Amino acid sequence: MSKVIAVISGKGGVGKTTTTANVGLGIARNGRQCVVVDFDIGQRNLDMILGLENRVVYDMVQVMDEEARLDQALIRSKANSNLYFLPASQTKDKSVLESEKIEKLLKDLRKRFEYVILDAPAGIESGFEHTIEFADEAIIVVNPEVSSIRDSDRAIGILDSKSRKGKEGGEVKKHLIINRVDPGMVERGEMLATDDILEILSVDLLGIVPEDKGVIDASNQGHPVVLDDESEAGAAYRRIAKRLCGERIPLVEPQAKKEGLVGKLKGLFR
Amino acid sequence: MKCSQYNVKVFEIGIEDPGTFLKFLEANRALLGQHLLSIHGEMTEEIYAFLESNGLHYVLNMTLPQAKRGVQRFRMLRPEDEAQTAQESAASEGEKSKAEETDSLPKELAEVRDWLRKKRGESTEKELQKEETKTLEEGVSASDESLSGQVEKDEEFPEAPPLKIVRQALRSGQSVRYDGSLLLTERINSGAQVAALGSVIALGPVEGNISSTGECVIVPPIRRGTLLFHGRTIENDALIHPLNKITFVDDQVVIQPINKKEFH
Repeated sequence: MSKVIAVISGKGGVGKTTTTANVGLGIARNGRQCVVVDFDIGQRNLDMILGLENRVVYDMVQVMDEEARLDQALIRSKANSNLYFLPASQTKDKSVLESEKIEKLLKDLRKRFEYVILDAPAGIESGFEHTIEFADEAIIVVNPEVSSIRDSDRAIGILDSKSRKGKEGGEVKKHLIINRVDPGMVERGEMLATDDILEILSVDLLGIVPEDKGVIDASNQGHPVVLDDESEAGAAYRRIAKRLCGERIPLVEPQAKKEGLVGKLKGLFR
Repeated sequence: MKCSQYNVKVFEIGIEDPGTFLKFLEANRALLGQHLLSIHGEMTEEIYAFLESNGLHYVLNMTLPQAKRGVQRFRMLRPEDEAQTAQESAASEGEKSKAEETDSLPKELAEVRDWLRKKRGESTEKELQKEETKTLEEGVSASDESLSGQVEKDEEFPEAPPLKIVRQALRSGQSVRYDGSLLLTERINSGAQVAALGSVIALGPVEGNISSTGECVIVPPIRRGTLLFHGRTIENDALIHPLNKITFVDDQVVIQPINKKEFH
């Protein structure tokens, strides 16, 4: 059974593309066949974060227009042979997307991959709506701040009403990733607490990724942080990938450094 | 000129058979005492005597300027009436308004209100078609057909649309507009909108915007949302109780605590 998972956020700059790259790579590391698709037509970034920008020859739009075959456009990741990447067109814009063509493309991808992960564009316009249209599940990426929460709340509303599943009376399964959490700031009450975010969005929590300066550097190097065994953010992405692969991994709330053993245990057993 | 507004409940009733009518009056004396009776039909001596002896307030065969929907309207009072009104009980306020019915000023006001309501009603219909969430649509467009059934059930408010209950959280960008009263059991998120011509009762956390022109609004404390009651902004700082009931009393906004148990 393959599934199509859309990664959405509403607001830009919260770490959607970084999350897509790391989660995709994490799933591939678990031995699953996975493809990440950049749906941000006209503003692709996923190729850079995966370190594959110089390998892009054909893109998704050319495949949909049958100017190129799917296997010509798919790029195999250097980091893991289970991971493939389908780039967005950089020269066209969102208006080229058509529902029938997307449906066919995703059908072809489903045949080949267990996990089809779509990196949605920021915002809630047509490009976003096309990304979520045929999704089975969605990963909602938020930062612990009010504007991000409100924008993703809006995106979830559209997900529920505009997706094929939602229109047919079903529901797209939703997972929440809280990204760039600074435990020190949460403790001081300067960031929204996890419980508050979950209450507002009423979505199941998939994982919490702590703020980690290494993430930006890793993105610039094209070497996603999930590959870095030392990184806390990388560890968080590895746990998230395992959960998506069906493993039961307890949630770990990022703790401020000076937290004692009891607090850590409490976090483990949440 | 000094003006003030207040609500009057009107009970409209026709005389078909004087005997039945008298029985009805007797049975519902307590309830009718709180209303201005608008009686249509032929008065008999007995009915007249009954009304007078029971101190009921009434008008006879008078067409009241009535809004198409909704129960309560505001009336203008002339300054000279104001002193009297203050001394009178809530029940007798009904009688005062009777005298005002024929004045041109309130009539005009009522017409404007009628028009506004109609206009708002129309735009509501249009917006509903655009409404994104299917589940929200259900019941929002309470049609006129469903109202006719309501008349018999709810004699006190003959033309009020039925209470609409929203059992699902409102997300940012979603809105519920309704020309009756609304009960929202779940949260209203930041960026969501609730607008009712009737009362609004919100039981979940409110971070979105609520506007009501009904009899009352019942809300928990609001941190981030805004509450408009008859066009007036209710300051969030004033909502200090676990549940706050906001009403108009003599043109003053009154906020009272309300016990959650009252709902169960």
